[in-house]
Amino acid sequence: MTNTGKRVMLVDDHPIWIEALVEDLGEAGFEIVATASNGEECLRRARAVRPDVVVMDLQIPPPDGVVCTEILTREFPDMHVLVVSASGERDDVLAAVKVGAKGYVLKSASKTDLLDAVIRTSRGEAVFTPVLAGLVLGEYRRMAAGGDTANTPTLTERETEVLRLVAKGLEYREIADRLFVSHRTIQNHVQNVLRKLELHNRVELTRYALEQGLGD
Amino acid sequence: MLRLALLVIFITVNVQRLRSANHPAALSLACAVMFIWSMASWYLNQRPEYRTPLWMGLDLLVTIAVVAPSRWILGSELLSGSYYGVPGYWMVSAPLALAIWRGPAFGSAAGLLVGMVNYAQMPSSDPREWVDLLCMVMVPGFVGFLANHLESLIAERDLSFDTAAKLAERERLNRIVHDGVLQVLALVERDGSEFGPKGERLAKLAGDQEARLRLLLQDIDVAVPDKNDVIDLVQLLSARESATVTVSTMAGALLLPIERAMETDAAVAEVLANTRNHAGENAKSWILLERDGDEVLIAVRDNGKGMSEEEVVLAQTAGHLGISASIMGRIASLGGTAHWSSSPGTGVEWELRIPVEETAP
Repeated sequence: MTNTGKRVMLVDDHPIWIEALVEDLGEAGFEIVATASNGEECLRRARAVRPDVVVMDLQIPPPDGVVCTEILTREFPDMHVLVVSASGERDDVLAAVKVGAKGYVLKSASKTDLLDAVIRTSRGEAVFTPVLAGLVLGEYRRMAAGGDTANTPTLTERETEVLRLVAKGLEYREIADRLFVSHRTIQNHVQNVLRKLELHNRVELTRYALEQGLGD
Repeated sequence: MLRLALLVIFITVNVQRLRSANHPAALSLACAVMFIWSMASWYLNQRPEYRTPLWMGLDLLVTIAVVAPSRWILGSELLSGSYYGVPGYWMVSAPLALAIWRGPAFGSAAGLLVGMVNYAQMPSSDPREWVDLLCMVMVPGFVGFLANHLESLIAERDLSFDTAAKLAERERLNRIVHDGVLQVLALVERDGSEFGPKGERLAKLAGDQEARLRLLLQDIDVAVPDKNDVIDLVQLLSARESATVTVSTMAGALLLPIERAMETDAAVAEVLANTRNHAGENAKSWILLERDGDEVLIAVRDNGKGMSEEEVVLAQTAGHLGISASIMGRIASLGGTAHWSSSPGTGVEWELRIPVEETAP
């Protein structure tokens, strides 16, 4: 396959996974510029080689994947993190997305789905899977129920609709057909949803820091 | 310590009655012996290697040696007046030491022996003498019993610490092994489908097992909270995850009273069974759990061949209860509603709404 020109770093503490991904992504034309098996390596090597995409397992020796995601996306806004992790780590996945991860794919996803996700991440697009859509929906609902509506981001009706359809396993194409809009529009909706969440998280963190007197 | 306290008390007593004693010099000597022996045994008892039968026998002999000449030293008048022997209650120390290190039987026997020697100095029908004798037997016996008990408690505690440590280590190893197994299963699930129908079958099996093993591991971490008779619906529904079922929920927990949660879960199980049985072989299901104010919203969608009103009615008249009783009935009994929609070729979509009371997590 032709070279995509995208440089990828793999972070996982399981060698068999690194091996499999190196092979698959290499075949698909990605340049694997680094691998890391723990958080410390991840940060050091990512700073050194500046990959376009970081494929991140969340459960790695410390600092864990969420912390690494937060640090890397803050230091390098152009570096896109894709979480590829096992199921059943929902709280961590939500945390990673809130600090800037672009998407989440299950480890057991098919090769095509995974490649597709890496390609989309490298373009800076959000990669929503049903599980992630459910988590994000739940987070918005939680925030809405918590009062303080002035500062909390809310979903538009259309965004809620799109998220629910993603969570129910529909492809973007199917959703576009159902809602009589373009594929691109759907992509924009999910992108927005994630951006609002991430932005809100940053604002909250800053506000917290100010309140704690750490702002200056 | 007790020995030293008793020593101080009875040396004081003896100093007071020194003048009226028959043989003051002997009384002073006896006090000196008590003092030296107390110090020696205090020192020796700190060292386990001296807790031998020899030293304990000697302890007992010294005690008897001080008790036995009481009458001769003090004279019967003084003895019957105060009824304390030369060492007074100091004499209980040796039997106590025996009781602690050798058990209640030794302690009581030694106490009886010393007590009898003491009693023989001044036999009388004074009930206080009898109580003293009884105490000489009972107290070492009781202390010995306590010491034994304490010792076995400590042993038990050590054993359980030991067991806990071993279990923790085993759990740690389990985690490593399980984690490795999960990775391999996920890999088989991912790559298996490239190897034709057989590979696909393997991939599906691996996927199911992966989901199960993962749930099992989570169960170890989070015990079902049954203290307040509530259960986490998120966990309950997540257990339905498999190679063909995807479960999407909010993060965290959604606590419901156990019965309501179980009924809800059972209704969802029925929807999934319906998909398995009627939607075709490769049909997949997606479950979405949401909390909307005071309602729980569960959407279950499959991408099977769909079903029509006619089919449902036909099934009902043919005696199948599936949809009407198992799904709608269950949800209705919880005060909720269940709707389904379908069009041929696009699968079936269920929407279950169940009211919830506020159950703070």
